[in-house]
Amino acid sequence: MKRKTKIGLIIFLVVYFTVGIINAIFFVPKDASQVTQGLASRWIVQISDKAAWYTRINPLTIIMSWAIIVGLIIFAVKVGKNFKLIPDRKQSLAESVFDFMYEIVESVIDDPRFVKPTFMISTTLFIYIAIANVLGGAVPGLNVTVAGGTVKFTLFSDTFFAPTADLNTNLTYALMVFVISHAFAIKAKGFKGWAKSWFEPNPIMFPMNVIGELAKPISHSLRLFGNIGGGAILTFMLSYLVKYLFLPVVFWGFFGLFVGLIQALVFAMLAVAYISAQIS
Amino acid sequence: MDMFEINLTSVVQLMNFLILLYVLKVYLYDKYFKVMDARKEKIEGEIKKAEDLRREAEELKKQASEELKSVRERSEEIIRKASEEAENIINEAKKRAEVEADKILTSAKEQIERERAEMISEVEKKAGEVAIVLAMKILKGTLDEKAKKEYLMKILKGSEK
Repeated sequence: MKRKTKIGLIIFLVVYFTVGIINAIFFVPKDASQVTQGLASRWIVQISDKAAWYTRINPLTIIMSWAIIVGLIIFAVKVGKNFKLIPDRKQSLAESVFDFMYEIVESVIDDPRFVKPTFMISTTLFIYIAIANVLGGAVPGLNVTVAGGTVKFTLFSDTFFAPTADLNTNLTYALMVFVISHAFAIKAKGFKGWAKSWFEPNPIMFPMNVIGELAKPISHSLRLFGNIGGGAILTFMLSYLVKYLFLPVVFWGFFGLFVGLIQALVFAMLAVAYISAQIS
Repeated sequence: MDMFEINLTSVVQLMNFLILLYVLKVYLYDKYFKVMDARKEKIEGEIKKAEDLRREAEELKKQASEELKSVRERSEEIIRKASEEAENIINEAKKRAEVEADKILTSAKEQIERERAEMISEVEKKAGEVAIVLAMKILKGTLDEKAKKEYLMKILKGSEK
């Protein structure tokens, strides 16, 4: 282990345990019902007096998303500026993820015109969701709970909030995949061919086809939301049981790394599969 | 439950995703495809080069083996000729030696014969002289000198016959 990494790890552990002990002594509610009170609540801010969907926002989802996106952009710019034929370590990491995704996309998408766009969309989805899930499932950080109309911030009492535990994120991306898949279908088959596909194999199947297509983004988004949201709640509860101090590493590993990465891959693969099903 | 609430966050998240997609496309994906193409070209070029070199090596190997074969044949021919020549030389030398030996033998025989004849004639002459001397001693006093000689010559002629 490098000296720099060792120092970083020591600083992290000192801060983690100090804050953990302070949490355990001063902030852990004695009554378990207090903990579960704001469990299913989200920190939502009203940005205007008008009560409409477009005047309400989830700040934590956006803050976490920006944090992830800024990190990814810094990495992309740093790697992209020195993208060489013979890769360095960071480029190799990026390339290994791209190779993995490209092979899958290339084998699933029949039409070579759509391989690259599909690869870009699915890989971006995979990277973003994977980081969000891991951050939300395995990295202790800032936690915001809303109980009785009051917002409470605590540090290291839970993992970071995963933007994918918010249905806004998942449903948006699922709908985006839905729209992209149909746009690609129109480009691949022509408008007539695409319109005809709704009435196949028999015109009587039209309602079933519509329901089937509409079910795709719903199932696509709820699958990720359920897994990550559920995992987060479970980790949170288990964290309370051990007084937020020594979080059960096995559960963190399972819900954060294993389920998180698998779900990110599943989401990206389903996006590829839906696009492939539409254009073939 | 506000857990399932859909609000402006969706639009912001969509914008976030599109920004991320654009940045990744500009800084990573396009460069990744470019590098992949360059790498593919390079690998194909290297493979082609290696194939050419392999073919060339194979040709050279074939040439070398053919040359080796011809050299071997030539060397075998040379050895065969040399051994034939050596045999011829040996045979000729043998023949010459035999002839020489025959010649030496014949001349030796002739010389022996000649020496033998000479010896015989000399012995005969000596014997004649001895006989004359002996006869002279015996006949001393009975015949004169001239009669002795005639007589002995007669005897000698008779013995030669």
